[in-house]
Amino acid sequence: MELENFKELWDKDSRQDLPEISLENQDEIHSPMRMLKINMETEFWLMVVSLPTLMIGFPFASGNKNIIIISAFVVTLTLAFIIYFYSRFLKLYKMLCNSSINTNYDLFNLRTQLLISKEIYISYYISYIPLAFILSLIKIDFHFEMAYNLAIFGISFLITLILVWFIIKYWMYYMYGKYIEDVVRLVDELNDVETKQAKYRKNSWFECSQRFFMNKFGLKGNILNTILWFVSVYIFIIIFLTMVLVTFIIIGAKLNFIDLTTLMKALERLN
Amino acid sequence: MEKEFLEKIENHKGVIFKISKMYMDDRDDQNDLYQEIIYQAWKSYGDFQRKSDFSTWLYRTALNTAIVFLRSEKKRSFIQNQGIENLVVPQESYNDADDKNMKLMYEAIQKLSPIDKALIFFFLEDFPGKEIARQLGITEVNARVKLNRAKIKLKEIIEKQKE
Repeated sequence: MELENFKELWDKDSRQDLPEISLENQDEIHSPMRMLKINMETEFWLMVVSLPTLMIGFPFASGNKNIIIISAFVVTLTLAFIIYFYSRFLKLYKMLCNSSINTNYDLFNLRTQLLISKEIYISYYISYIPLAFILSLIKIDFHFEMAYNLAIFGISFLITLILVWFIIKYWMYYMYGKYIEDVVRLVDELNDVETKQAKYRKNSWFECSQRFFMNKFGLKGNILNTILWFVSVYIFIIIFLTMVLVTFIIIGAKLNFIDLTTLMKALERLN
Repeated sequence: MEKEFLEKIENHKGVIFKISKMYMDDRDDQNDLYQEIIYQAWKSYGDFQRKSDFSTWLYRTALNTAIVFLRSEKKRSFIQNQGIENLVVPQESYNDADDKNMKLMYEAIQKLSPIDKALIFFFLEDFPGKEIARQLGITEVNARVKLNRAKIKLKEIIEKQKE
């Protein structure tokens, strides 16, 4: 069979039993933009539900009015960030669905907008570093001695850095990055930019569970997978931080750089 | 406007489904892509300026949608990890020689990259080089070079199929 025969076959291919035309939005359609939108929506609601619990819930327990006011302020600020970012993405989604000048222009536009959004998203998470730092200052409220206070600030700063790195490297990649990479590769191919061969990558646990849930429940399975991973990582972080803290205290007490009496006094004052 | 759109699209349903078959190997995915192309075309129909021919505009919208369309998640991971050359196309029942060749043709095209598929579509639809360049937004020389490369790749795939 030669290429010229393809034209003949192409013209002969006239299937009569074509699917019914529907002008309605199909819920189960997979496209990078649709997957990005679903992931963005899921993350938006997860943040809206979990942030007040995380940031106001614990400081509220302290009963200190100043702490409550400042925490509420931080939560409002963070929610404003999320709403801004989400509304920006929705605008982008609508804009890109309507443009059609030529394939290269459309794909290039999509690529540029997605890369800008990615940078904004990264900045949004980086903005958590000072917020978390300020929150740790408020929560500690200088109950400890200076050396302890400094150690706590340092550790909380380090933990926030690690968390942000983790979010940017993994969470962002599986939620958005891999779909953006597809679009970038297409634009590069169209413009003869040498593209890196996609590396052989073993399926991550996240992708395995995503595939399992999507095969079972369609796009709703993707939402379920995201929620399950979000909650699991949340629990894991709490357990991990508790373990790190306990280990740190035990080692500190054994090596005598943590004074247990001072620590107990400070905790009593905190309560 | 809905009636006008449906009347216009009626004559191009076949080509849209052929595009879906070029891009997707699974019947469900083909139907999904077909519906998505029609939905995207309907959504942007209001912006269609009538400066170009309806079919030209529709094919561009169809190809843009198809190029960025994803397979269902199980296939996506499969393709990403094992390479397109190992793609297993589900068996369908074919009656005569033409149908068999048609199946081989779509199998071969499905192994190309999304951009190469678009170029082969223009070739099969007899688009001149100038028009291909205009549709893709690249220079005419580049379009011809790319089309030749896509044809060579397709020939190689056909040769492999014969072995």
